[in-house]
Amino acid sequence: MIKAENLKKIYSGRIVLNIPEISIGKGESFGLVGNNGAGKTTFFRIILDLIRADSGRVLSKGKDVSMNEEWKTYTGSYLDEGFLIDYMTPAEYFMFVGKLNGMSSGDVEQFIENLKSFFGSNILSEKNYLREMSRGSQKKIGIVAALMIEPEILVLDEPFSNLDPTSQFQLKNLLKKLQEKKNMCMLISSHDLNHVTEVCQRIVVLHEGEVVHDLETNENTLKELEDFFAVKGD
Amino acid sequence: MNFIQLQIKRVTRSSFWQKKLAINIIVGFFLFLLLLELLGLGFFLGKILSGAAKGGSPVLLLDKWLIYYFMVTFMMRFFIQNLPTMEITPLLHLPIKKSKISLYLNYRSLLSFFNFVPFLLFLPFTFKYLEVLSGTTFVWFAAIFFWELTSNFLVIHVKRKSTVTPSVMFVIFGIILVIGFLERFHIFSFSVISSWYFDNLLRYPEWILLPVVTAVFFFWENFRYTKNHSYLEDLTKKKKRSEKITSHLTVLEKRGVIGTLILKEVRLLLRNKRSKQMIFMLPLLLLYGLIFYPDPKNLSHQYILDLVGIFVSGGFLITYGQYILAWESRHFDFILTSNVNSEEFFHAKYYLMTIPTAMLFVLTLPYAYFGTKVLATNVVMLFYNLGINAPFLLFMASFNRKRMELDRGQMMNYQGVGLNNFLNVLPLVFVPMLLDGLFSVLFGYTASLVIIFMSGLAGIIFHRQFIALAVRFFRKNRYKIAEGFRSS
Repeated sequence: MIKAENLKKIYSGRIVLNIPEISIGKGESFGLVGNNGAGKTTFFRIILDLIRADSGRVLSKGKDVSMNEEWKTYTGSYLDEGFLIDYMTPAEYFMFVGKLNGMSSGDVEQFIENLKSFFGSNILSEKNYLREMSRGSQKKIGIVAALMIEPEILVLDEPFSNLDPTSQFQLKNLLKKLQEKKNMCMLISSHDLNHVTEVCQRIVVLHEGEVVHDLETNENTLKELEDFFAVKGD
Repeated sequence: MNFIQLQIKRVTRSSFWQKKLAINIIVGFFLFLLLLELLGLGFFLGKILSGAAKGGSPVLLLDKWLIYYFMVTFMMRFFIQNLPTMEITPLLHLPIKKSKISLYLNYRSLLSFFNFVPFLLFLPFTFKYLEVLSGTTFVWFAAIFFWELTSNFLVIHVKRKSTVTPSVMFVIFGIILVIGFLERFHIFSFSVISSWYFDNLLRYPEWILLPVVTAVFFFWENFRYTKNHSYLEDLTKKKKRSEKITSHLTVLEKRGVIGTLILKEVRLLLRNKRSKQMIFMLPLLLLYGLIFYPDPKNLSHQYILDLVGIFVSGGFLITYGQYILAWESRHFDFILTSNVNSEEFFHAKYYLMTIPTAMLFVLTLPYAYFGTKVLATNVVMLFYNLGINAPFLLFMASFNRKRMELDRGQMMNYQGVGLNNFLNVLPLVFVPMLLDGLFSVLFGYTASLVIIFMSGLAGIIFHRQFIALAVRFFRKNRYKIAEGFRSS
């Protein structure tokens, strides 16, 4: 589904990302972990064609993402607040994203209605603009907007941070459920080893721009990751 | 006094100050020119007034007019002067008395440019035309100064109660009309109040107490207010919604992706401070013609008609189109990754620039009163704006890579403005002027207008091709644009 070849990104002489080859298959849930500055967001931004790779390329369904815009039709993403339109109410924002993806207002309302418990309130009748809402609410809205279009590829950066415990729990279930049902290719980065091992079948550890571990998740994975990061902390 | 240090650091260390040296120099230069002009006016004020008084006393004449001076500066303050704010949130939990913070905030407003204007404008006059050594001279000037301070604190008081909204604008314009009407038909003249007060002041200096008391009163009022309202919940304002207009426009969502994008942009323009102020300025741009057209001398110069025509028919196009991508800098990553292809995105932008421009043009049709030449030039320039300038702005958009914060006002706000914004406007205005001049010499007046009209029309007909070019250029530069927009 996604394939990176000879990917390299250099900022002022420092290599921040260096991935000779990696491929992520359809229906795979892919977790990216690493410390700050390990290159997680950089990798996601290159996949989403937001920054240019200094060498190499990313193929989505076999096509270079920087050469055509087809991937936009089947990719949902939420990296940061730059993905929100902050002067809209949640309902308007959902409707906007829905319309861009050819959904009817009924489809949008139906989808949001089903997630009532995740928002904990009737989000569609919320009168505040997104910029006036808490970071947690903003994040939930951004993630749901990315999910709403039923993407084949989903890219989320730190989806669990800023969420309250209940929402973290609900989001995990939601992601697992959707991923199984729609067989989507899901890319998640996180600082939180617990969450990411719970949601993802495959964990990749980035350290200083390089892939240092590539693991299938099993009962030992969490321990293994904890050991790795404990050493790095010293 | 630590506050002052804090303030200086805040200004000098802001990324705006450090990065935009060129802009600061330009702004500083213009401010310097303005100061010089005011000072010059101050020196010649006596002569001008003596001439106008026709043998009467210039002082008495100025006394009459001072009230209008205060009215005008009050208005200007209302639009330009900012509420004295400091980032007080980080200070609230520190062991600093609230009264101290409040006092400082209010003192700071004294630094407003307007408070210094009397010194430039009236001090030279005072020394020249009033008896230098007598106490009344000092009192007369001090009274002007204290009225200005009253104005300073009153405007803060008023601005706290009301923000610049369309209804407030209407009220202000209404008041100006009423005053003008009263003066015009000699029903009541405010100059009576003005000269009554200042003439009395010259005889009985104790009248100085009136402005002193009002200034202190409003200062106290503001001090009390900021002291009692320095809680976090008071610092974030709840604003009124402009749901009414946009809810009528939701039909646009039925018009496919381009309609959806246009609706989004309309919401952007109506719901952000900076864009709202841009919209309020539009009537002024439309009235631009009134400065030039009434003078018959101007009407015989085609280049002046060209210049005015470009601004009158393209005011919206230029002010909005200059930042055509930057308006969306805060969510540009979203635009780049969502399911919109660049062609549709640019087409929506093109319609957003051209449709309002064409609609606003109807409002400028009354300029036909000044002659067919004016009308013909304006129509030609409208087509030039729509056909050539609009695609040109789409093309230039790729050069504007400065993030723009929309929650700050537009007046004297150079955030998100780069040097290229100034340079951008030049070709928009001067190219058609030069073309018209050149073609007139070569082919004559009418043919020249026809050629420019036809080129505009061709631009409109072939707008798809022009947009495709702009899109190709944008695709080439998209990483740099996105990077610029991401960094604040």
